Amino acid sequence: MREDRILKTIKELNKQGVEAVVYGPGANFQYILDATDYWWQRSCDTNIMGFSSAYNLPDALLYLNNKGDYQIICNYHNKDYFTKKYLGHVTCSYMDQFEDALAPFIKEKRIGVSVSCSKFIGEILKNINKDIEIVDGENLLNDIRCFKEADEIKTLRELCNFTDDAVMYVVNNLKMGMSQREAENLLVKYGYDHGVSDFSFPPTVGFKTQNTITTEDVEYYDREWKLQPQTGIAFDVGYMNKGYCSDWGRSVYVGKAPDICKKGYEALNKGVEYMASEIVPYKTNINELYALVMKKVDELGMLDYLRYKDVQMLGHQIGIDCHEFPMVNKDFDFVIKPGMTFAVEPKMWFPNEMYMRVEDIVLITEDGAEILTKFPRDLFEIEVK
Amino acid sequence: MNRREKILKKLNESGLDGLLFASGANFQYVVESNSYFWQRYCFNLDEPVAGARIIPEAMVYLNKEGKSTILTTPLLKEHFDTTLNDVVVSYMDQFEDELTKIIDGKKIGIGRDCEAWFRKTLKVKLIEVEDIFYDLRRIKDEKEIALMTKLGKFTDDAVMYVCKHLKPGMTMFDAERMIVDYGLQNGMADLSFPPTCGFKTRNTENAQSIEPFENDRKLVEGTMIAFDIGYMDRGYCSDWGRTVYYGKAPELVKKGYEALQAGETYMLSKIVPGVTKFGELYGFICDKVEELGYYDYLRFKRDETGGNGHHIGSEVHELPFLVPGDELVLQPGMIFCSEPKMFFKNEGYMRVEDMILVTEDGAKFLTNFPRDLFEIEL
Repeated sequence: MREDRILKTIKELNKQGVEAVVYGPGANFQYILDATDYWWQRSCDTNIMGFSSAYNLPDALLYLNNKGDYQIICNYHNKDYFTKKYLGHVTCSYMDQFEDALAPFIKEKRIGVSVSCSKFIGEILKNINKDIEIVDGENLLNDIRCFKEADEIKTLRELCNFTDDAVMYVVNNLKMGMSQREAENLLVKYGYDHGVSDFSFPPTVGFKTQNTITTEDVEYYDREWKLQPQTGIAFDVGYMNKGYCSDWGRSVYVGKAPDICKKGYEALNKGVEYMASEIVPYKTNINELYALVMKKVDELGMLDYLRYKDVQMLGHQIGIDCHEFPMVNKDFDFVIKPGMTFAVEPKMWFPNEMYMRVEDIVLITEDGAEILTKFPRDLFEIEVK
Repeated sequence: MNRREKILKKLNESGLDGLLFASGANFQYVVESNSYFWQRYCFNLDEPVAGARIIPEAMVYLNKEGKSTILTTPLLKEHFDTTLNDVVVSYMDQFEDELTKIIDGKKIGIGRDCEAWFRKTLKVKLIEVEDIFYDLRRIKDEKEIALMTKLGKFTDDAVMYVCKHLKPGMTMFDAERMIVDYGLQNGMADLSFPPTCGFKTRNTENAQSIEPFENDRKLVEGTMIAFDIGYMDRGYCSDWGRTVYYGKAPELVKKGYEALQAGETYMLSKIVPGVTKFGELYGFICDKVEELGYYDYLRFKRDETGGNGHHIGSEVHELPFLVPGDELVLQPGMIFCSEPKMFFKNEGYMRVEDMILVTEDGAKFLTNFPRDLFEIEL
């Protein structure tokens, strides 16, 4: 149990006028309990569009109130896991009994619940006391979880290295005639062979071949498309391990790339590096970051190709969930401080040529920013047999 | 025919190209592995709202040639029998891809578990086939019978434990908690449904009607306790009922309980496998109860639907529910619950529920808690 996280949570509860939380297995549950080895069913974008996970049935619940009292209600089959770690704070019961098991602890009237299992939790809380006001508990901890602690940073750093290596493995194993799907399956295999527990989201090894692009929808890929000369490949890859997520992007070009694409890729990478170098902790705001990338890209004469200039969308925080708050765009007003880790993902689009993306995870340190994703930025044109 | 052959026969008769099931009763039945704990939720059958919308963490596809492929996460793979099934391990976000590769037909039967996800994910024609599987699952094999026999006995013992530990002043909730704790302490994986130790105390407001029961109702002399208990272990469920009386019972209810029990045993004695129909069973109970002069107290009359019983197996309620006029004929290997009830206004509510196995030449109770144990000494 992490007393420090409980204290931080209590502070947030008081600040937001919430008396207690009940969380099903999910990011906040994992965070408060530091249960990084407890596998809950995550599905990408749970935090943003939590429609499916809302209907999941919990095999464990966490109750925590603003005085720091907490209790885990768990099923028979995960009893050993929880009692070993949180002795004295575990009620083992059966799922049909979770309401009864939880009831003695619930004295509060304004309770935050997670998106995960929210339907079930909402129902049992209303049965316990119909006067309970149920509020969103999913976003209560956003402002704490965005500042990572040393062990979280260590896990994220490892994951970034792993993702660098995984994509290098794919780059080295591409074959002419291979489909996009097969290339993506190399990522599945690499993750699985190395014991990584999950993906953060379905990976994309996006193929776009020169003069064959029929749609303006850059996100559309024909996954049966075969690899051939003059194909640009945009990677969007994330792995999940030990409870944390990576999110990662680079682009490569099979064969000799048109000058404009080469120049674009260089500008895109320079934009990211420049943005990171300009960050001053406690001073720079998250809403300024896209403009920094834009400034450098403009200097290098490639601004026309940069995407999302209107909304200035650059990325998102990352941690237990792949997409965490605050988002990195011009509408989120949030001063950057040490411990934040966010993904920045500027993109370029060259009609008839290729779609290009770079995505890095940036860690804010005491005196600046460090980019945790180290895949070589000068690797663009590749030879494939 | 073994289980797999029976499933294939049904599959071929149905005109489907294959069957696809996510974590749930049909999944367990097809993969023949009961160590994997899927989250069951009582009454999912009646209201499959929750189960239908869960995201699958394991699923099985069976094609017409009899090849079954399990798709699951790295975490769960060790649960599955690889001699019977191919096991494909992938990440959840990749299930769509993997599943598309595994499915080799155009018209696929699915169950209700994770139905929403299947319908969202798959482009092939999907047809719900829960009914076919109720037909298959209704006849239990030896292994299933052995597991359910043990569960019947376990439930007998659990309620006996509660009866021996009843204390004046304890609440109904306390008594039910004993059922939960007994299960937890003795390694039961789950309950089939929330247990009821229904207290009704004579000449109180509480004894004016069957519903509701009150969790905080205290045990005092003159309380009738109607048990409705079910445990789940290794993939199978029990469902169980008896009634006891705390203290010395009035003649009327004592004789009533005897009549209810006599109805139940008489019904069992009338069963002729291959001949008797499910729709006739409740009539036998009514005949005996009427003969003993207690027909008026039966909660459900001859022609009424409700509460007569149901099939049972890896779900606590398997279809069809027992209703008057049901033409389905009893066959050896079937296990069903019969649950007649009586209500005595001002006195209390009484129920008996047995798990009954149809044998080659008759039927036998899997629940053997003494039928003559009614009055419990203070």
